[in-house]
Amino acid sequence: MRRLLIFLVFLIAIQQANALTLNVQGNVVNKPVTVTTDKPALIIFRMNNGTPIYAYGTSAKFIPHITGKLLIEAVAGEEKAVKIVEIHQPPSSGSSSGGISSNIYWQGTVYLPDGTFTKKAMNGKVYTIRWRTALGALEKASEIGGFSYTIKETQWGPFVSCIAGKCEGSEGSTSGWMYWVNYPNEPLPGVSADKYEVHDGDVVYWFFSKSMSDTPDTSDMVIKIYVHYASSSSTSSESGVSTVGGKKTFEKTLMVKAGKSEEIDVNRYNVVKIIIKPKKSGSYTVKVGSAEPKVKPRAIATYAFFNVTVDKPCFATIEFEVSRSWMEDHGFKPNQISLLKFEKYWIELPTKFLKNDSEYYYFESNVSSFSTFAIAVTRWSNFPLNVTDKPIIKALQYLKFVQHSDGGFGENESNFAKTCWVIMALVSAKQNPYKWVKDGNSSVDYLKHEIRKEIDKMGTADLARTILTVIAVGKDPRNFTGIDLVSKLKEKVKPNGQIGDYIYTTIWGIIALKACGVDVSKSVEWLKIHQNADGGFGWTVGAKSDYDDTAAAIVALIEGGVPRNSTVIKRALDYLKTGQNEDGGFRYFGNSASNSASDSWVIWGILASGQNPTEWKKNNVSVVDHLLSLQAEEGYFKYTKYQVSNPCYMTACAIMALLGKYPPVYPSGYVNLTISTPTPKPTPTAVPTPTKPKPTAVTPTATPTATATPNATLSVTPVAAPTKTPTKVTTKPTFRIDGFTAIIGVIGIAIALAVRRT
Amino acid sequence: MKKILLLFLSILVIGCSAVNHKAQFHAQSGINYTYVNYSYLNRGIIEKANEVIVTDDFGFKVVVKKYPKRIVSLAPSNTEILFALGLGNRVVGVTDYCDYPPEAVKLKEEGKIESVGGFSTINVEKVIALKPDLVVGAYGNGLGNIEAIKRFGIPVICFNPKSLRDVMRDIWILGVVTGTKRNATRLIRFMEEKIEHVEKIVSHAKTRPKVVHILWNDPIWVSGRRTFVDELIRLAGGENAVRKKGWTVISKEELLRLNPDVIIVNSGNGMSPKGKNILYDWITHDEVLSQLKAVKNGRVYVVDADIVSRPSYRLVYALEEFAKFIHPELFEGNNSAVNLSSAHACNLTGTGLGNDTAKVCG
Repeated sequence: MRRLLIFLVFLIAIQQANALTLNVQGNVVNKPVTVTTDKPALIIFRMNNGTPIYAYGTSAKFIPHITGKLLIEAVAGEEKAVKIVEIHQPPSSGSSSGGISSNIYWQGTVYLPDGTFTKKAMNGKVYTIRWRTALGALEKASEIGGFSYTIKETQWGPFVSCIAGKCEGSEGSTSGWMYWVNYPNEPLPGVSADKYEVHDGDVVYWFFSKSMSDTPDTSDMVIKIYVHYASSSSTSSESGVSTVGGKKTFEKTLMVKAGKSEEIDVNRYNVVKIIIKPKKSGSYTVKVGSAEPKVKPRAIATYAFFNVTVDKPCFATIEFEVSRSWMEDHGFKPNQISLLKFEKYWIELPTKFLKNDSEYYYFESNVSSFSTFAIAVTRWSNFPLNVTDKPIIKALQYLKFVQHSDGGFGENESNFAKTCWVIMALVSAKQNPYKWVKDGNSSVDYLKHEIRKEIDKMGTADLARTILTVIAVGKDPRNFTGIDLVSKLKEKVKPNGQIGDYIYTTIWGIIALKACGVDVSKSVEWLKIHQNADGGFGWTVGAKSDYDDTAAAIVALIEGGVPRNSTVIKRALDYLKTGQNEDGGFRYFGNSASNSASDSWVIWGILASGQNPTEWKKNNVSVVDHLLSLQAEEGYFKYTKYQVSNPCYMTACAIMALLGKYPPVYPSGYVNLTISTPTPKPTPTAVPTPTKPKPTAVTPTATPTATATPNATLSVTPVAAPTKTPTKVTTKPTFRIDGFTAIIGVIGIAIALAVRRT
Repeated sequence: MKKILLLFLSILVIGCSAVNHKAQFHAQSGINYTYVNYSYLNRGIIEKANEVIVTDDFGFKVVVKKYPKRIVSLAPSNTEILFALGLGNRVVGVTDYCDYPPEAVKLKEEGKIESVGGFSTINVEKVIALKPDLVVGAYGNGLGNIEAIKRFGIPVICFNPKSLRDVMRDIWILGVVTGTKRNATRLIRFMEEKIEHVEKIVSHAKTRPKVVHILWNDPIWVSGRRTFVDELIRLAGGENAVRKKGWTVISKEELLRLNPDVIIVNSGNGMSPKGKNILYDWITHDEVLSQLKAVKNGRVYVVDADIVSRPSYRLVYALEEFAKFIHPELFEGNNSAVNLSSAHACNLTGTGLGNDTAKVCG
């Protein structure tokens, strides 16, 4: 006790020296210990040297449940204050020795990003909620403040049931949590908290009301949240990422001048150093810790995760290390390593190899915002292609040629489904779809314009494909030109998890909904039980397996959370292998010829399973080699060796596959390429069926003669975060009456194919 | 001048050939066609002593030596016609999708007929390896595939029928080039008799109900104008409520606006697992679509997708079905289409219809 007293005196001295005032009230078990500071600070509670609990703000409460020593630490920039409080059992008289001077349980500032997060209600229902709402403010406050809250499903939407262990009904049947924005200047809101949009500068009160007449003033427990909008480069933690608790976080605060870089040696969590490049002068606090994200990146292998936060927006360079032994054990080369950042999804950052020593390889990446990072292997030495490689440039040139005045794409005229696929291909090739403009209309303009005509006619797969496209352009599929595509697709989900009436609709529904953060576990289970005995998947229940749907099912299952090494995936991959023809390409079904659509889809499946598609060979020809062999001189991809069919779609699929991408595709920075339109124009047979030649024609020639010379100049622009929330389909058949016998013979199958392929 | 003379001579030759052919045709068949006329059937066919020159639906002039012994079919409809003409023993290759008649499936399973791939994903190398002396293709096979086969000197006749008459002409072309004219004639007459019979019955109809044919539900694909189904609806005494051309997607709202008297949905092609029909279940259980007149009145019918979608002689079975769906009042009692169909079909037993007659005659 005496030693403790000396220690406390010593700490008080430090506190005074640092001029951060820390007031503590309360020291009784099961009663709040209230801490207030004179400036916003990181407040850390640690009971008996146990797990630290973090809060941020000028006020925080902690309810100890055992007796012992409670260490309270407050950090504001370089200023620190520490207090240790002895927690006692309450006196037998029952009166509290703590006393609560304020009804504020927590208060602080939150920076709300654009976009959404998901929150699961107690009954398992998952809500997708916009950050910039009263509920979003509570979510962010709970993250920062370290307290929890729960919601329950009601007919009006999510209802906050408990905050920090305080639950509705605990003080009378009418008691519960309420919120009030800008109290008392604005009236009590009349909508549920997930619908109330908050603005920069708003103050949100969450208060426990014993009766309907309570206000934040009269309530015993209040959360006071100062709302600010996060800029695109601001720090924001994501719902998919949780920093591992219990480990001490590296932290450093320093005063810096605007425009002057400051180097911080970290030397832990695989981070060597961080060089921050501040936008404004002032105090910057940098924290680095380990992380274990719930959403894993699409990578061949992941070396480590770490989390970086900086309390103010700034640019930075992160230098990190990878152990040499790990690299050598796995046979990885330095050019395969990338730094990835989680921003609702994983974005690959340009990464530069710096040097190596006897123990480590060293790399660096520039970042414009902070979050959870992954050090990962994202490419093989021979795959995927780069956007500047000739096949990709040629393919982009062809796509440029088939863009029409309305901004859409199609061989003869713009087609909504084909435009969707092309947009996904463009984003895969780091092309900005907003800048692919023809006669003043961009591809996204076309999408916005046409969606209203299309929406009422869309089937399940069409909705899924459109959602994936909206995600690719960085927009919110829950509100794309006022249309909530996600809700429309969710309407197709049956109680048993099946999406739409078929297997292929379920596959694409899973991929799209999962990309939007929707819980698809039930649909994944439904899909798993519809795996055929041969390991493959058919297009509908009872149909024989085919290679296209099996490849897509692998993507859906892995996106839906099924482990790559699970039996269901292994069996599907085994089946997939049987679909490789002697020429190295893949067939759709039966004895059909290898074709670029099947090649592409199979590559997607292989990629999703973490394998290198160039290693899938037959007669020493890989599926990638075969796909490349189907590219015409004019840039488009033929359907088969002899047949040009739907080249716009085939080319889009091939671009994605060759660049190692597969749906969902996310925007992750753009590369400026000069894509010249070939002259003369390439004119492949544009539609699935050839045009009828003149009666006297003996050898109709549809072969284009144009030779497109790639003329690409490369300049890499900084990785731009998507301006809107991207959250994460498939196709409309384009039958034509003049080619009508093309499907007459096999109409059911043709529809199924076309639905997935157009 | 020399060219003009040659042209003139060639016209004469063609003319003579046609006249001779007509006489020969009548002598052989003794049948006068009713639904299709003779000149329509013979358009673009020049038969010589050792070969037949056919102008096919691609516009290609194809020379076929008499008579091919190794035939590859590149469409399910072609396979159906070839077998109905009694040519099953000459067919050496079909597509993955050729599943009719059952004899064709059996021969495939026994390895006596090779599967040469998909419809537009034909495995050209497999076709060539079979060394066919005739390939019967379809427009949907794609020009690239057809040209690739032709480059090996293999004659390829491609069909692109747009009407029942066109199907009859394709049957006749195959009859001529394979030396099975008698069976071709009977098959065409078989189709005509079915059509005539249906026309006769529906001529008594007092109404012309509005019909929508739905071939897919996700999204809703319907048959518009200038499709085989459009022709079938018309012949069966109905009116296609869909005005758009070709196959087209419509919304639920558009379907409600059309509000047809009769709705016909496709079945088959794996759409009916465990005896259920997905399209039928969908339309009869959908809350919004329950407002449809056809749903309320129980006028939703299922047709086998294979008989309505393939341009083969089996379209006439679909026609009978359509007539019964659209005018059930005319098919009550003894005057049923099924009975009459059986009678007609059974008359053709042993003349090349093979398994079809077995199916109809029981």
